Amino acid sequence: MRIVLDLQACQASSMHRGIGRYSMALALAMARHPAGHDLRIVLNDAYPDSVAAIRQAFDSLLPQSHITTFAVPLPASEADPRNRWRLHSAERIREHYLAGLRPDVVHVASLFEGLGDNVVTSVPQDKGRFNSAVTLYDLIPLVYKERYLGDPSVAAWYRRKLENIKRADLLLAISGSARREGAELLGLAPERIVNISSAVDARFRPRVLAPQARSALLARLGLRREFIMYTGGIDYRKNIEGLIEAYAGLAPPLRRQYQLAVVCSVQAPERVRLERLAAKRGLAQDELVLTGFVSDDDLVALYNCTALFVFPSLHEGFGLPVLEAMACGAPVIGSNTSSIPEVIGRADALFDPTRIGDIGAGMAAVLADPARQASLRAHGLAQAARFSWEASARRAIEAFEEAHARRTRTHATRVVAAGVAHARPRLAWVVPAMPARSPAGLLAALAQYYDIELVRAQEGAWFEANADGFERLVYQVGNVAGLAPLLDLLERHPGLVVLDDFFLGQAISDAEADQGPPGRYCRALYLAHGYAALAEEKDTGRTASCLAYPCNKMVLARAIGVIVPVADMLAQATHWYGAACAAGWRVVAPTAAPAHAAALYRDAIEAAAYEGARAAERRLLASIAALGSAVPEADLLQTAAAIAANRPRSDARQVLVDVGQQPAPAEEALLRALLTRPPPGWRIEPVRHDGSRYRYARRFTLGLIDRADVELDDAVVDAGAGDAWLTLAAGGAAPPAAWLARGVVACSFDACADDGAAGRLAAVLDRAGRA
Amino acid sequence: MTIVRGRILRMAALRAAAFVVAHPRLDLFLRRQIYRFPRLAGRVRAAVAQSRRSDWQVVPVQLSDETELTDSAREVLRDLRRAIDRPRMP
Repeated sequence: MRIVLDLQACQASSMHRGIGRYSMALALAMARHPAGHDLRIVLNDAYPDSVAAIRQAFDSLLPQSHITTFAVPLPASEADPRNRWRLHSAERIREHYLAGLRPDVVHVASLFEGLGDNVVTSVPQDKGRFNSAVTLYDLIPLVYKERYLGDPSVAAWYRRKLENIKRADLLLAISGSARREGAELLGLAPERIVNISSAVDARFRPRVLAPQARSALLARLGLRREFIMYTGGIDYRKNIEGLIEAYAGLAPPLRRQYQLAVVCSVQAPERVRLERLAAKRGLAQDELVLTGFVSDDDLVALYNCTALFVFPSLHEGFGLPVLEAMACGAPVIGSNTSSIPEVIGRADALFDPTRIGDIGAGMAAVLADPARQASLRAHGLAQAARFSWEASARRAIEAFEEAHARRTRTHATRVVAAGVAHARPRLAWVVPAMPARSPAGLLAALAQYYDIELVRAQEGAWFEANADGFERLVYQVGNVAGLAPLLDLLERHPGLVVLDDFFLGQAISDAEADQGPPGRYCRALYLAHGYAALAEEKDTGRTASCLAYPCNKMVLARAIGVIVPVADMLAQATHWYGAACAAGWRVVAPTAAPAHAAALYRDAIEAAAYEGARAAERRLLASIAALGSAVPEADLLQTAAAIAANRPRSDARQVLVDVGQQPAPAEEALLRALLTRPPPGWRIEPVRHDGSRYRYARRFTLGLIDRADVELDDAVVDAGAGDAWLTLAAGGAAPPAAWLARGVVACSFDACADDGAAGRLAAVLDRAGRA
Repeated sequence: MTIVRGRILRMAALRAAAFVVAHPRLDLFLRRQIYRFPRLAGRVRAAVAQSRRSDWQVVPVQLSDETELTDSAREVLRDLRRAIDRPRMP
């Protein structure tokens, strides 16, 4: 089973919060114990720094190629109504990207994101072929609507997310309380919500502090004596006001003995408000200590030093600080509401958080009784040991497996039901003026499945006007004269390609002579085979080049599927473009009986229409188009850039060589040697920075290989996972952080041109890739 | 001069915000007034989110014309424009 974890929760505004930490810890535990499943992580391209940190965290647990990023048009935060189109388009783009990974389950670590940042989360409307799982932390805003959903933009965002979460096949609740909440408030079937619980990091454990370190820490935070501790943020539901009032109600000798430490980040206005409240309740200035943000290390030390940890929250999804404190051996008391009782696990350590007297009595009872303190410490350690990330990860994976099994059973039923025939789709079969073989016999047999129109590419104007009326487009492509009009139609209206010949160089060269534009062949040659092929064409001539290189990449790039007559073509595609190129191609022998061939063609045409990556992209574009046509140009550009960046890479991997500063003669010689003899499976691409972005240095490179007669523009570099960034000179520029985040590897190479340069470079690339 | 004025304005805004937050009833009253205008509320919220300095924040790279796109992005753009101009059932 392929499990894809969407870890955007660890990237933006939630990354330092409990949600980000929970998501990271759970994902790490799943990666440590994947139970034989294929685990992948997807991240948002917009936060390259966090991508680097997450890659590092999973370094020894997952192959780097299993951590991928996706791009979306930005900004996409939902709070700003101006982002509406971009946000909806971004959600579709992300869903398309996820589907392209062919997952069995996609787990969204936190769905309630993207209000003020560019995190994009959703659950697809179309159930598709994979399960959607979402972590359910709590539904607190729904419980306290008037408190949290007063802002209409927040309310609209929350409602939309609720609609999404209801569509999820599986919710992973972080506590039994969250599970009950989900079932009651969302009305979901119990089997769709599983309690996977939570745990704390191993660093939360009893620790003996040296007296000096202890007093230095406490002095730094303004703690001068024993203290009662709270941590967990400042928010209405956290009930800090209740805690301060309860503390104020303690007997003065107790207050003189114990300070109250509120350990968390406190914004200036909140600080003023809480200090005013303390003063109003008669507390001395040093009795309430607002420490502000503390590091994890200090937090562990404070848990270890406190006389009592109090958690008076009105409502929690889990209540992680409670477990952290218990794991450190602190005596803990807390509210008797929501999830807190199941975390504390002891009835006499609970109080009613809405009754100030109850909170105060709970505190006083523990502070006045050393035996009770010791008992709570021992209980806390034992209780904390019952929670572990490994257990949570195991429960999550078991829940994925069960949901997957349910889907498999349901899918089998659906396939049987879908076997009902419906009207024949309209199919246009486009042929060049003189196709390599007549399709007449095949089309006669294929007519039982489709309403077929045979289109001669020369009648392009008619086809242009009517192409949208066809549900299926098939192009018959061969190395024949008069191919140019067909290539133009294929460029504008992608479809399935029936490839009669693998080598198309002569046809493209003829097309250039017949219809132009000048350089058509050389451009196609460069796109398919790189600079080495261009240099060779100059030396050996056009005819030899057409015989040596297939030059068919531009056709394959626009094909939504490919049918070939012989299996040898699959081997050729693999040889020239890598194994990924021929994935999904179908072989139908021309000698097959027409009825049998037609059935095979139909299978291939339908598979391309419904399963192919290009067909999926066309559906994505159609769905984005349906969002509205009044779209600013900048948004269209960004959307196109994002979709292109997310495409799976099937080309040869690139070695991007920065030539922004004029290379020294030795570097030029090395570059020339590499360009004309690249390492197998790699494409050497010199690049330069134009002040705002990297571009292919095509004009420079054509001059370097003595092909200045060819015109290619310096397009923006398309860098992606698996590509390498090569510096030829010491102190060369580093690649952009965004490229590293996408999976580009950086390496360097001595500027020494010799016959073995390609071999040496291949070894360098191999080492860099493995590192 | 402009920088000084900016600092003064920022200080004043922060003090005003601190005053409001320290008075919960006033805070709630003002929030409700802003909530009467949802689009404004959204923009205020977005502006506040953007103004907070956090290590995760990014400035989106804006694209202004096709020359800033990769070859494959230009191809997608053409297809996207065609899909918008001539919508068909997905």
